[in-house]
Amino acid sequence: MDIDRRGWRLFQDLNNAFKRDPNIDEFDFIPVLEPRNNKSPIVLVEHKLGLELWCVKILFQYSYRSLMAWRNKKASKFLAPQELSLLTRSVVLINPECYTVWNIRKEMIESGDISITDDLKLNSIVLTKHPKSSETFMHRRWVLSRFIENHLQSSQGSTCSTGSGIDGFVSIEGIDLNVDLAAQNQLHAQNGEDNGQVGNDYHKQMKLEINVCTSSADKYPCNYYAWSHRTWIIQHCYNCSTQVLLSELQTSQSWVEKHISDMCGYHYREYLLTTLSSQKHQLWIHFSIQYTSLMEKEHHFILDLISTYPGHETMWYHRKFVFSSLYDLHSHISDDDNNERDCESNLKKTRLEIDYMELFKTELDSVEIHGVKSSSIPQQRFSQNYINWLNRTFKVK
Amino acid sequence: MKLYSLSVLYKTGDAKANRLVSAYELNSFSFFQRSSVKEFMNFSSKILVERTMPSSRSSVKEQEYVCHVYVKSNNVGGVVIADHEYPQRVAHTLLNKVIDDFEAKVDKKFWSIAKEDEIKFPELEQFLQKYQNPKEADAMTKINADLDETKIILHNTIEAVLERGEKIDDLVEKSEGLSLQSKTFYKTARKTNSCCVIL
Repeated sequence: MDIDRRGWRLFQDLNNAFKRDPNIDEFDFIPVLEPRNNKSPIVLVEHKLGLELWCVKILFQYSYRSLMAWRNKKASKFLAPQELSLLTRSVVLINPECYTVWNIRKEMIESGDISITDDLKLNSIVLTKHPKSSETFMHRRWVLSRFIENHLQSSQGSTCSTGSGIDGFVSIEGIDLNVDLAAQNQLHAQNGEDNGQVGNDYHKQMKLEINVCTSSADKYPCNYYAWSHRTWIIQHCYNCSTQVLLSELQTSQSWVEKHISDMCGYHYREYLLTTLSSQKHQLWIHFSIQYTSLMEKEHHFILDLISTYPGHETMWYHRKFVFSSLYDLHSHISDDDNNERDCESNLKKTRLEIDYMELFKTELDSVEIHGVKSSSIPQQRFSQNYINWLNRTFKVK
Repeated sequence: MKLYSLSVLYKTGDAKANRLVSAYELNSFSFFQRSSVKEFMNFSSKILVERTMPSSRSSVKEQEYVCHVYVKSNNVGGVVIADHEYPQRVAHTLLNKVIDDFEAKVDKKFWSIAKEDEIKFPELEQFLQKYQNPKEADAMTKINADLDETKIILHNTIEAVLERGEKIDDLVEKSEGLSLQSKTFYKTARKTNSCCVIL
């Protein structure tokens, strides 16, 4: 069949491109609708791989049909693992929603025919073209689960416990806090320096994961899948370590400032803050941070953004979250606090109790004075809605 | 919050405009799209200056991009193409500064005769980079900037700026500044209604 032959040729060209350059980091289609004489439609420039549009369908059909025939045992041809792997690669590059093909790759990872590293690498390339592919992210998590398992197994001999052990894998480069150095050293010592190489690989991969999330979020606005993946990493690879949460709070702040109307960024910060609210003790003991001050900082942050960039509704949603949290913090007396509080923080506690009424009034005034009088008409509308929400939601005695 | 391109153009007598010098920031686009994106930004800038009256300003929304245009009474025009988050006021302040600087540094006799990209005006690149962060670049962002009294006309699509009967598709087809690849890029993106049409 003529199509099979052309498909086969394209398939070989694609494989040769990957062989020529093992550092390909980006993939895309090129809008060329007709083949040009003797020029390969597979273009490789500066580690970027391009596929001319006219050949996409042919290559896809060839690869997909070969795979399905093998899988359904219709073809008598035996497919060696190497070839299988290459066929799956061309399918997912073009259409990553083909979860059957990702599942074939899962089987090959289990049998050892595809390495975890290679699969994750291909996965990253797929995401450069398809940043919001849910199947790609889901497959990535399956692979990472195995990666984590392997690393935990290989760290079995060390002195660290499986839970907080992950803390030691975390670098504190991203944190801009007055972290108590003694506490830092203690954490590192706890987790055993003999884990050196294993720890490094793990950490390297996790940094890569965060980078993949960031690039995918940059490429496609409100990329729910990328941010969900990021949350998953924090939960499963870092065990929601306080250190990491604080570091992410720092990192995501600059991202949000550059994407002020992307709800996912704010939602991620809300996730971080909510998770940190259940770690108030660690925050205080290890980092000398009062949780309330984090929320107050967030309040200043969002107010600043709202006044600098009027007319974006997303920020007002985040403001609602922040204000509700602050209000709750100030109006509830928490019972779970430890008894070792010194005089100073006890005084602070009393002050906080009567502060929530002040807080409400200040917030209301601030919107009435600044928001409603804004020169931006949408901003006026958002301000009025917010005032209505404040009055409706918070019954101040 | 991004600025993608910044251009200085000149409105010639025959309702046409010449693009004199441009700066671009295209790193957020995928590698193979960059040349087409650049061509489309030039194409849009030209069309906008051609159809903007001297001494007027406008901000033209097109999908997830906003093109801010200012044409001075002396027919020098500036266009900055940004995303929809970038504050309009800062964009127009930027255009003021760019045009003032251009007039001061480039001799008037070249404005109407220079060919595309012939004039050297490296400050344009610096402006583009500096203004990527509106807060840093423009201390007046929060306070009302000292723009002149000219109102900013808003349009919701580039097509709103065209003459009656003119269609964007036709202009794209006829354009000499767009390569075949770019035109194909435009057509395929239009067909799939994807968000990578830059116009």
